[in-house]
Amino acid sequence: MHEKADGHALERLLADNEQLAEHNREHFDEDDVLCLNFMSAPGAGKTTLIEKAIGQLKDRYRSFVIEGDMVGELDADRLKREDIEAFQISTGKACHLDAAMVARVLHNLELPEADIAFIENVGNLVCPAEFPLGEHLRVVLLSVTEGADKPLKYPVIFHNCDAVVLTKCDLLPYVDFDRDMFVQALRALNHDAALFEVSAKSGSGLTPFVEWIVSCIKIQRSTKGYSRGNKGEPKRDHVHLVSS
Amino acid sequence: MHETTIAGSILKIVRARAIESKRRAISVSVRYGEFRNVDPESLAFAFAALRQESPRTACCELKLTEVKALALCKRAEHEYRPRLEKMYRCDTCGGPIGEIACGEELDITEIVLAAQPALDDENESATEHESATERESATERDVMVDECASELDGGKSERGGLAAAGIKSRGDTAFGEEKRNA
Repeated sequence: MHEKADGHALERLLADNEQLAEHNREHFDEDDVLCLNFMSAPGAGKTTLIEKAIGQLKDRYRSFVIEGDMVGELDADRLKREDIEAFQISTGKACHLDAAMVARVLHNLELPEADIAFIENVGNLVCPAEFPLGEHLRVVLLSVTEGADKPLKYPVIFHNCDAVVLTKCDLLPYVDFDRDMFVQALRALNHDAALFEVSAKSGSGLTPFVEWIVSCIKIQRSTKGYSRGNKGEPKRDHVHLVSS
Repeated sequence: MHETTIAGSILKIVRARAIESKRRAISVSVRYGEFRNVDPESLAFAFAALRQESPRTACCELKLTEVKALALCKRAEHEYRPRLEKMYRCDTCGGPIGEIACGEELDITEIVLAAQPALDDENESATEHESATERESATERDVMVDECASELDGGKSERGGLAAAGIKSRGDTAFGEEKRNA
């Protein structure tokens, strides 16, 4: 006895996650919250970038952070010390956040009224790309100490993102980072993603990134929510708008 | 190691079909796109470990097929094979990747079940059959799905809410394209 789909999908895998991600996105849209999913290798500077961005945004927009880590609450505690509302998800053995983890936060915790939800994924350039969380925008970070060839080595995550932030740019004079190669590799995989070169430490380049987030909030409110495909492909027209 | 999650997702579907048909699973065919982050060896390893947790799937063979990526270039919509050696650029004009035409699949294409029904002592329900590990990983997600359904449905019914919200629940999937051959 067999069931065969003649070249078509009989059942899509990880469909549960995609359904829950869509549900999470509806929550965010109902509340006019723009949700950004930050992904990178460990140590690329996600927490610092989020912290500094919120610092620049706080007079205009309210934010909270959902922190994903395998163990502990170090990042959430660090943000709380800066008076940032942060909620920690400890994934245990999982190397990525999934939509169910985020849904539990949305359903079970008393979240503050906010305009922006920052989700900091577990540090990893592979697994998080496979699990949409309900975000409107995907932001991928690469620090200059990691090497310019990373987009070529991790094409999926760099192809399926809306913005790329090159971090720790204050270290550029001290490391052999081939910036031209990086831009070429990124643009081969993702022609439309907004690109920012930032030093969160010095604040250099931070303002354009923050203003990009602001422009995305305005687009979300004027269009009543972003729409992303099941796998999280960006709507290219939105990206054109925000990166122009 | 998200391949463990994928293996669990495969086995959950196969086990449900096997229980529905009161049979054991012989094999399951899965295709994965080149532009998905799937390592076939890791997936096979995780599948081999997890299939033991139910007698319905203990002997189930996993057949994996990779779907090579085909992209349309951004510049002129040439169809081409994006390859690392070419920095994923178009073979014809050197343009960047636009849309991925194929290579992002991750799905089951075939499930083969035993011709004969399984012995009576294997005809347990899906819930009874779930292994401790699967229960642990599945329960939280399912509770979440049910909570979401209940919320969307005003608490009237769990699965009705899912359907009303366009969210498919386990076992509700329509098999529009499939063929069933006994």
